[in-house]
Order: sequence, then structure tokens, then C-alpha cells
Amino acid sequence: MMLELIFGTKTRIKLLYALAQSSKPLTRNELAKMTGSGMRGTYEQVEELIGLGVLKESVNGRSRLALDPEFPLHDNLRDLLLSSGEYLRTPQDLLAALDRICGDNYYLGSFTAARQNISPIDYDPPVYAVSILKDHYKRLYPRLRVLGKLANIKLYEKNMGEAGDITIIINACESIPPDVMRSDFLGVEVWVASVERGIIECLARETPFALYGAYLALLQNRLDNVLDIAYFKKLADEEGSLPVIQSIMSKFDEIAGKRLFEITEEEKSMAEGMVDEKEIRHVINTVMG
Amino acid sequence: MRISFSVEEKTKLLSTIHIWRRDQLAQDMFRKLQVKYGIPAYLTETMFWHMEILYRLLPLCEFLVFKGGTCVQSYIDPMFQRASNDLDFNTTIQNPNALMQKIENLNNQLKTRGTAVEIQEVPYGFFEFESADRVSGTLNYRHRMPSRFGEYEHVTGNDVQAKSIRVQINCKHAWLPAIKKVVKPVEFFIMEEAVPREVVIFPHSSIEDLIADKIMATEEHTGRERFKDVYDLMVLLNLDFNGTLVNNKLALIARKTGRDPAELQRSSANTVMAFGDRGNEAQGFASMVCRGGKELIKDWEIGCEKTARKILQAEE
Repeated sequence: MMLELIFGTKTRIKLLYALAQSSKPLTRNELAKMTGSGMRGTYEQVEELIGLGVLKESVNGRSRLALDPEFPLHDNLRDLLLSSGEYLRTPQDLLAALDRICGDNYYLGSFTAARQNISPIDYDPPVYAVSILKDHYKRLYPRLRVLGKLANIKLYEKNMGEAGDITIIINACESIPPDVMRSDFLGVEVWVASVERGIIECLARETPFALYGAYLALLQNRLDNVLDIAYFKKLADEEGSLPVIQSIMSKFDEIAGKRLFEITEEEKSMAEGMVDEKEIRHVINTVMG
Repeated sequence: MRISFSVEEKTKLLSTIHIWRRDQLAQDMFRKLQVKYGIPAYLTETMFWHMEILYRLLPLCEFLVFKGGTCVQSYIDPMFQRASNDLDFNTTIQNPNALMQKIENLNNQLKTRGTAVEIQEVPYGFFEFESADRVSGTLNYRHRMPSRFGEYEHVTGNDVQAKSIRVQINCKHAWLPAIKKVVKPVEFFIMEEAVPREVVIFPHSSIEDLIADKIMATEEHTGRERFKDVYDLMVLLNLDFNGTLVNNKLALIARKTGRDPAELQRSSANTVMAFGDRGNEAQGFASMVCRGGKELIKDWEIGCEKTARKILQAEE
């Protein structure tokens, strides 16, 4: 079948994509470098594509290759290659795909929710924490996993090394929390948990990130008056993390020398749990100078 | 096949009712109410079940706002109340799965408490999911109660003595569950004769919300215009309310839906005026309304004119 011959290997697809994107004909060496394929493999595939009429060779000093405009499928082939390169490139594309795949059975929590209303001070590549309803996880995970095969997107795994241009962390959850709302996030309508729940998830759950980011989100939201402290405490209590949250808020008040979180003496006495004092100082310096 | 319950089973079923005493759930009581208020006894029974179901929903009341025709009755003079069938709510929970989970948790609580039971495999007292309307964002539940009037329902191939109340919860209004939430006791005309064991305090939509909702429900040419909505507007607009709040709510809805708020009011007023020409049909509807309301309906045409004027005055 013709399509199998044209697109039959990863190397061929890469070669064709490189040629479709290029404004000028390319040599075999340039193609091998651009696609990261070996010289021998590139040579073999190029010869076959010339044989099929997909590529045209021009010799002007050095032999160069281009998509052959005389090939009957040239226009369709070029359009397909170029538009596929644009597909799912941006965070917005990915969010729309997540929403399409998961429907009402997911929410964005953790850092995504915690930072939905603030402009992050420190740059981070986009990371989306997606919680999928447990009952739908088995069905939906393979559909999301395939997104991680795209060059710019990585699915989080333990010891994954560097994050992708865009990283997705997928968890199964028992239920969708009641404060999950349909929100406009980067111009895409998605299900997002409340800011308060996002911060609690960052602080109380195991995430691949340092506490610094969670502390930063907490302080920025507080200073921007986005955080509903009463609701924050209520949620923390429901999630069983009130003592550690009180401990963090007390430490912020103590180090900043201000009543940032209006912690009472009684709450201070109930505070308990691990707080990274150094990171809190770091965050206060970053945000408040 | 018709399933008959034994005396023990009937007793067990009635013992699941918390708000009412056994002697209050008797045909004698419903008939007494029928004589005094003029609403058929079997429709009166529904109001008893509404109170009980609202009580059962209390664990979720932080997420719910009572609305719709049944809620309207809780604000108006007993003599002007009408029979209603469904219980309608808005919710602050926007995700339907999150809401369904909450209802499931509530069902488990009701089961543990002995309120939700199965008798001869027929479930009573559960919030049973029926359907979801994605367009309107409504989740429809059925809550099966015992019937004291020999009403039968078809359940899993059998006929059983039961009366199901539809409970509708709208997730799509989470952006504005109410322009003003009023936490107050539920007050139905039945309470004039039957004092419940416990006052049910539930978050209601305000009168202003209800007026705005009824104005939306009586828009022209939607095919949904109904006597009961016109009647509800007629009685609601006789209460004390804040016209600015009604206008604010309509303005918010209009902005969200790309409409002109004044046009919504004009359209509703036109519907009400058109209903004024249907006085004969209104007399039929009067059978569902308490005696004070029946009197009101006698002057239906004039009532509709006044109501239409009040809707338009709110616009000014």
C-alpha cells in the first residue's frame, strides 16, 4: 500500500517532515543531522522515496533533495506533515485534549489549581496535575499516555529526569471534590479545583516538586487576597492536614514578623508537622523582598 | 405482579419517616387538609413527603439551594399555596460527578441510619439516579416514598404501593446558585394542621431569585409556558421584594446568555397577558390551588393584567 511505503518508518516520517518544513532543498548529510538518523539509514530511505516519486533530487554542485511538486499527493502530503507538526504544540492544545479525553471525570489540582489566579514569580515549564476518577482511570489512562509520546509532552514518572516542555502528572482519585469548577484556564475551559484545595494538595500530598513552589503559591495567593483563609482551614481539616498547615502559617507569621495568616494562639498550640524554615525564608525574600 | 406488604413491612416503612408522626400520615389528616384548603388529599400527601425529603437532604444543604415551584410555596400565605410535584435545587457543585458522589455518600448515610431501606427488593428512601440532561445541566433523581393512598408504581416488573418524588439538581447554575440565599424554615400549608417533629431549616432561593426564575420560565414562544408559573408570579409579586435584586439577577443571566434583560421582562409580561385570555382553562388549574388562590383565579384575567404590569414596572 502506497501510504505504508511513504510513511513506513519513523526515519521516513522525520525526513519528510524536515523537508516539508524547509524553505530550500537539503543535502543527505543535512537531513541525517536534522533528523538524528544514521547516514546509512538516511541514504537508504531517501533512495526509496526518490523511487516512489515522493522526493526529487536536484544536482547543482551538490546533490540536494526536496518534496517533488510533481508527485500527485504532494500538496496533501505537505499539508498533512506541516499541520501535524503544529498539533498539540501548546499548553492550550494539551488542556483542550485532556478535557476532550476525560470529559467530566477529572480535575486539575495541585500546582495548576494553586496558581490559577496568580502570575508565578519564578518561571516553571507548564506542569499539569490531572486527577482522574478511579472508576475511569483504567479506561482513560491509555488515552492520555499516548500524549506523552509526543516530543514536547512528558508524562510524569518517578525518576523521570528532566521535565518536558509540558509535563502531565496523572493520579487516580476517589471522587471529584465539590469545589471543582469549570474555569477558563489559559483560554481553555477545564475542570479546576479551588486555589485552597490546590495549595493543600501541594503541601499534603507527595509531589515531584520542592516545597518551595507550594510555599510560594501560598504566600502569593495570600498577598493577592485570593485565598479564603476560613475555607482553607476547613479544607485542611477535612483532608487531615490542618496541624501542618497551621504550622506553616505560624512559621510564615513568625519569620515575616507580620500577621500574614492571622493565626491565633490556640491554633499555634495545635500546629504540628514538618516545615522547611529555609524555604519559607527564601519565599518571603522572593515575594516580599 | 402486584406486591403487597405485610403489616410488619408497612410498619418498617413508616418507621423510616422522621419528620412526621404515624398518626399524621393518615388519610384522615389528608382529608381534613383537603376540606380546609381545597387541595385533593392525594396531592396534599406529596407536601408531607417533600418536607421529609428536604430533611433527608440536610447533610448536603451547604451545597444546595432550594428553588422552583415547591420553594415558592414556602414563602406564601398557606391559603394561596398550591400543590407541586417536584423538588428543584441549584447547587454550588458544578461537576456532575462530584455531585453524584455526594448523593451516593448521602444514600449510604441514609441506609446506615435505617432511613433508606429495601422491602421485598423495592428500594425506598434512596436518591436513585434517573437521568442527566447535559444541555440544562440537570441531574434527575427519584426518591420513593410510601403511598398512603393506594397509588401504585411499576418497579422492576412489579406493581408496588409507592409514590416517587422527582428531585432535580442543576449543576449549571453553580456560577449563580442564588442572587441571595435565605436560610429559613420550610413552611408548607400542611403545617397548619400537622406540626412536624422538627423544623426543617433549609437554604431557599430568595423571593427575588424566584421572581427572576419565573420571569425566565414564562418567556414567550419557548413552549414551556405553564399556568403554574403564571400563578406563582401572580402571588410572588404580591410579596415584599427588592426590585433591584430581581433586575440584577436578570441582568446577570442576560449577560451570560447574550440577551437583553428588558426583553426578558417584556416577553414574560406578554406571556402573562396571553394567559389572561385563558380564564376557563385556569379554572381547571384552580383545583391544585388552596382556597385563597381559587378566589384569585376567579378574577384570572384581571390578575394576569396586574401581574404583567408589575413585571414591566420592575423593568423601570
